[in-house]
Amino acid sequence: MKEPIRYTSRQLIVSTMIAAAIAAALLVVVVLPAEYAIDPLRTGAMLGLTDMANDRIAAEALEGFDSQPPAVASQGVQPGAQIMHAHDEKFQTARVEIQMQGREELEYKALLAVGEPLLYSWTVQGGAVHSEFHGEPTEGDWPRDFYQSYEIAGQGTAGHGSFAAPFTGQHGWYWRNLGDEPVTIVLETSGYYTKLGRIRGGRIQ
Amino acid sequence: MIRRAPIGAYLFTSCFAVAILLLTGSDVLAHGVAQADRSFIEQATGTHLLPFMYLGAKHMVTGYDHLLFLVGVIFFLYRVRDVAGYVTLFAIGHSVTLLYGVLSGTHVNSYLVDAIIGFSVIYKALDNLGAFKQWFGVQPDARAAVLFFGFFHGLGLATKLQDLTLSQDGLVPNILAFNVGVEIGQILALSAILVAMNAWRSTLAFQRQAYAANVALMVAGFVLLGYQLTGYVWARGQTS
Repeated sequence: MKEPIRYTSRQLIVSTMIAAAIAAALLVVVVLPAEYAIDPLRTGAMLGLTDMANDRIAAEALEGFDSQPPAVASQGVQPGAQIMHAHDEKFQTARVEIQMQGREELEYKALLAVGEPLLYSWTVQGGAVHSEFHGEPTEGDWPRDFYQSYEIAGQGTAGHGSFAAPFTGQHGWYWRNLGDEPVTIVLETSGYYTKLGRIRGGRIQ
Repeated sequence: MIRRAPIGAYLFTSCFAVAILLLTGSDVLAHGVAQADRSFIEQATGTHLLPFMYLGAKHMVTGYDHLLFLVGVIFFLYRVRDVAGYVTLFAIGHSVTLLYGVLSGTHVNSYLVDAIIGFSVIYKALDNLGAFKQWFGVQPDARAAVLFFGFFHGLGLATKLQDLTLSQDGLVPNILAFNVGVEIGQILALSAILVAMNAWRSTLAFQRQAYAANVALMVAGFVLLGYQLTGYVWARGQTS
């Protein structure tokens, strides 16, 4: 009883290979999509696992950054200046229709100075998109390729709200069309941004 | 005596692996420290023996990779004295590298360490099936293997602990308390495993299911191995 039963060498090799094959299948179908958003068979997207991984990866990238980055605090902005922003000119207003092909992804952003506001409202016509709102600095001393994610809304058909830039940079949406059919995003904005447009080559066009 | 592996073994194997996956999907972290506990560890300065002890115990009880390895180790151990002997060896291995790793600041890639831990599960399952004797004609010393892999289990945690910014103030007593907690957690986890194992071993079906169970352990080990090795490659891609 105390000695394990002896099995043939062939039996053990076959069992090991079967174990490895089951493990490989589980990894490819479930684990890798859920953990790293690596999804060769598109099973992760089907089971909703890839979104989970994307959300977590984004959250982990944020780790160590407060909602108010340290560089902002150290710029010594006057307390009153953070609440009141007087301008000589009227704010910008825009209404744009953004066409997206099936499965297409794009970024659409506004160039905002630190503390400046953006009011926004967008709705999708013809389908649903994955959306995430983030910003990257355009001036100042920052780590290379630094960006900050503010909100991962995930799958949705609309978003309305306001935003105040925590640092000078281009802030806006990453959108991905989740369907195979083209969609149109109708975006309305108001605010003291100096540029608004689609990101191409890392810059607002 | 030679037996054929029953087809049901593979079915059982798959179910078991899925159960492991469900476990990993919750906030149970292999070698990690739960998110909420991180801020405490990072903010704690000075000596906090009981909290660190608690965290150590929690890590052990919820660390499924340790538990899988321990299940493998005690699979065919019946006498309490044998269990105690192996577990002490594992504890020694675990403690040595945990203390040495944190105190010396040795930093090893955690994906690779966790991959080795995954491999240790596969190794132990094959050992239980008598594969090494069958393939190579020698039975490797089980005690040495437990000690050897114990080193890596400790190294894994030491690396994870160092990812946090630990305060130098009270570091040694805190790490010692954490380690005591790890051993308490190990005893608690093992008691539960032993009760379950004994109940299972007393059934007639045990010998038949033992094969399936060790193949299941192998699947879990392979999943851990693949998961961590992919993570290693993936993390390199993220930083470059």
